[in-house]
Amino acid sequence: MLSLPSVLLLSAVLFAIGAYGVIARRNLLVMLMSIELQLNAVNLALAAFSRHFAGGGGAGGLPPGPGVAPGLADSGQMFVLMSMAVAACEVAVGLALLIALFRWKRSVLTDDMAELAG
Amino acid sequence: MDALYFAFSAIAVYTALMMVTRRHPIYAAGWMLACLASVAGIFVTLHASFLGVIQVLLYAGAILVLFLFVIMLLNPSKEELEAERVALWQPVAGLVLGCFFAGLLVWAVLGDAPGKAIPFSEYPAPDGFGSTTDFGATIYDRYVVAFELISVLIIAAIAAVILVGKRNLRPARPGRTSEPAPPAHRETTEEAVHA
Repeated sequence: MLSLPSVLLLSAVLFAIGAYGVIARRNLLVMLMSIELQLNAVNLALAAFSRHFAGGGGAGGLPPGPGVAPGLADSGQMFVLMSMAVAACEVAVGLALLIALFRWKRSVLTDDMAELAG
Repeated sequence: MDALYFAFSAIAVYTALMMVTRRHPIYAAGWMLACLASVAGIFVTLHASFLGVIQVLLYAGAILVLFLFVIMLLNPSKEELEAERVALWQPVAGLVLGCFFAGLLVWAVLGDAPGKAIPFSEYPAPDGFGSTTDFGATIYDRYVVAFELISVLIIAAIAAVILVGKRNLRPARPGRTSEPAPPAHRETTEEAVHA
């Protein structure tokens, strides 16, 4: 059944897969994609909380409570909208940096980005 | 709605796993498209249909196309991708960290009230919740400033992208004459100001 914990569990699993991708891969492109996946997982949790509180869900053990004020019901979705905009900007800047690095190093692998290590 | 949600979530997890394990970024981008589309479907089942549309437009449309453009522009060769020799500790560390995150979040979600999950169908959302009309009213009623600030953020990002795209990141090494050092505009202007 579709409930708040089930969506949060899915969000946790997607976030963990994204974390695995960031740690285990050395290709910068795939690492950026994994970061996008993590952002998506967080968006999912925010949307689930928005749905939960819009229906009048309580804060602790999830009994339906008095609900939020009218007009505030879909405030949680505004969080998701903001985070999507930030994600779009992040990808644009990240890919621009990636291209600049590729022009310098001729590679997209993190092994070759060893300037700070000396 | 429930069957739809579980189908979408199964697809999302499977495609995410395929995405992080593909060697070639093109295939990873293809699996990422499927994953983002299924997350858009989950948004719709959560009464966030507007966000689902935005997810398809922004992620599957803009971000994924940007990724594909960059992959095609860089055109990594086969031997270059083969050079991604991942040390053994890396997947192990990724698995440990991923399991740690997942376990921590699962514990945080289920630790409070195990087995007490109340399905969403028992407390339905108000009519029109998440629809474009209501959500648009919320944006332009209550969050106008935040919404407009998004455009400032995007302008800043565009400026940064143009700057990074034009500048040569390669440091000018002493002793190499192939790249002349950039002219010191800033010093001259500061001297002019001081004079």
